[in-house]
Amino acid sequence: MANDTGIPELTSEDIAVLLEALRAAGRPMTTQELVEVLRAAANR
Amino acid sequence: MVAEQTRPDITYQGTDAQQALAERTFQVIRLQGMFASEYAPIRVKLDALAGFLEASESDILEAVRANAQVFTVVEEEDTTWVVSSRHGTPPLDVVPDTRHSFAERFMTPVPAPERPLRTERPEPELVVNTEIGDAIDDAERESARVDRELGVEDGADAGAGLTVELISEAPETVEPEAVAEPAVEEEIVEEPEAAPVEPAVATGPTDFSQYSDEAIATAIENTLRSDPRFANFGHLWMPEERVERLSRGNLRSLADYINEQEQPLTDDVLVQDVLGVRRSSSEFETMRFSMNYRLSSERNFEFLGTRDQPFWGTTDLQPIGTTRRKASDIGTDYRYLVDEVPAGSVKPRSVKSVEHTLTFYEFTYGLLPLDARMQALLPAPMMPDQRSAVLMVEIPQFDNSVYLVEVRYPTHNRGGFILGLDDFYEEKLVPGAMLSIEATDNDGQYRIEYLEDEEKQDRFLELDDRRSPKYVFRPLSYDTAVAEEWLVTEDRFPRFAQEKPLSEKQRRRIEEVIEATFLRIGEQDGKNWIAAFDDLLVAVNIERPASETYLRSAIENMPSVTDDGSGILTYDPTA
Repeated sequence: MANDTGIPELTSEDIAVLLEALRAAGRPMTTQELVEVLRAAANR
Repeated sequence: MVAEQTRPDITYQGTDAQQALAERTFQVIRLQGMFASEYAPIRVKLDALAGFLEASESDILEAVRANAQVFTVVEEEDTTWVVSSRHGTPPLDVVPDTRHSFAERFMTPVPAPERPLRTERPEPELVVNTEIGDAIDDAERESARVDRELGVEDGADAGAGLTVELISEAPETVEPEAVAEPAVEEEIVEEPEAAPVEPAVATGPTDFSQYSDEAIATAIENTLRSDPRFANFGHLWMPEERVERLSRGNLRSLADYINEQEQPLTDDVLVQDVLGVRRSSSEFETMRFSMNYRLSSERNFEFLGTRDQPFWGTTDLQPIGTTRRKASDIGTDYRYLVDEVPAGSVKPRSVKSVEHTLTFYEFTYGLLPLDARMQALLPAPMMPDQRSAVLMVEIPQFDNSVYLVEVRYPTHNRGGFILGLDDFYEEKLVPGAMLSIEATDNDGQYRIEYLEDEEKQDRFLELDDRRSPKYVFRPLSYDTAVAEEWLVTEDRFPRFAQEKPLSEKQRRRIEEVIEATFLRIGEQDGKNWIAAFDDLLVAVNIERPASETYLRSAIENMPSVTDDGSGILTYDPTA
């Protein structure tokens, strides 16, 4: 789902995926790494 | 050590002869066991006793048996033993007590008590009155309705653990059971089959195939920055619950260390030197993030870094750069840059290098303007309310010097600039020197280069502000390439000698500076003053900074100044 500016809106499941990825990483992650996490989760 | 031998006080039984014989028998037994312990059994053969006491065995046996409280008779095959102890009591049967032995406890261990690993806390009970209970019911029904519409499957748990106890003054009007039983559970549990839920758009993973990385990154930043479960510093993220906490002692040590070093320090240095976490440690990245994240909300600390090189300073730290003019006044001098370079009009870090020629003003205060070209070279502020950033500037041609300079970002009424190069300018350059400022891969590190030339000498203008501020010409030698049109020498502007700087009030108004400059450098033609635009631009930049655009714009709005189209300007003081 996207808003008028062409920026996607994250769902609660997307946010849960990001939180889980950060917990599993055990270290700080960059925004770009989180982008890749979302893309990978969507492909699954 | 035994200091005194005592004989037990024994009362013997039997006839007088038996008592006397028993006493003598006991003395013999004590003699036999003189080194025995008080209660150890002492055995003497009956026939030996009879021989020693010169009495018959039968007499001795009768005397011993008459005093059973002292003696015991033990028969072993064909030998009869009379047994007693030094204490005068028959020996006890010595049976080892194994009821509580160590071995016994190993063989029959007591089973471990059955205890739950974690005690569940009781669900808190919320006591509300009927009015609030009704409101809660309404909210739960509304929440359940929204959950069903959004397809939240676990909505049946809503309201679990909530017990409503009626304390209304008129309880008979309401069935307590009806209120205590959350209506949500009934609706959610009983009705899913009747009303199948369509998969909601707001849940489930989003299909990101149509979006660029930048768009997704923006969505992540917009969403997670307002979510308290996520901790963010710059472009890095962690779950908030995993971020290490800093004690008050940690914060004090960090501030003290920065103040002792008298300069901002990078997060690398602080984590290693103050928090004691080595760079090779697996905890280093987490600790560095934690420190940056925690310090960003501390009022005594100021973030002065960039994405690649986070510097931290304190509010007690002396500012970097010149002390000859306050930074706020310099920002006001560059006010025109706010209009010339509107916020967001330049993409930061979009160019690799910038060529720049030093003006007199920049040379005097050791700075560079944060104009459009420089903003395209440098990074934008990393934090939303960041006022300044410290950069490392390497000057390989100048003894490989490395300077810490401070970028003052523009505000709504002050222009931006870079401070901290005064030592380098003074020792190596002259006003008019040409510099090249180059970016490196690290957005906090830059390199300054200049063209070397044969050594020359000239008399250059200087601001002598030791006592009564005035302009003076002094000889200077230099061996760097210069832009001749920007030199401020005595031959070019001799009337600046002994001139006093304009007042702050005059400097603030560019028109007044232009008028004063015509009188300092122009040629008088009757009542008018004539000067070339190029000369005026250089000389105005002695008093205050002004770009070519800004100066032309100012002159166009001055009725007293006319331009003949060839770059020669005429100033009529009477106009």
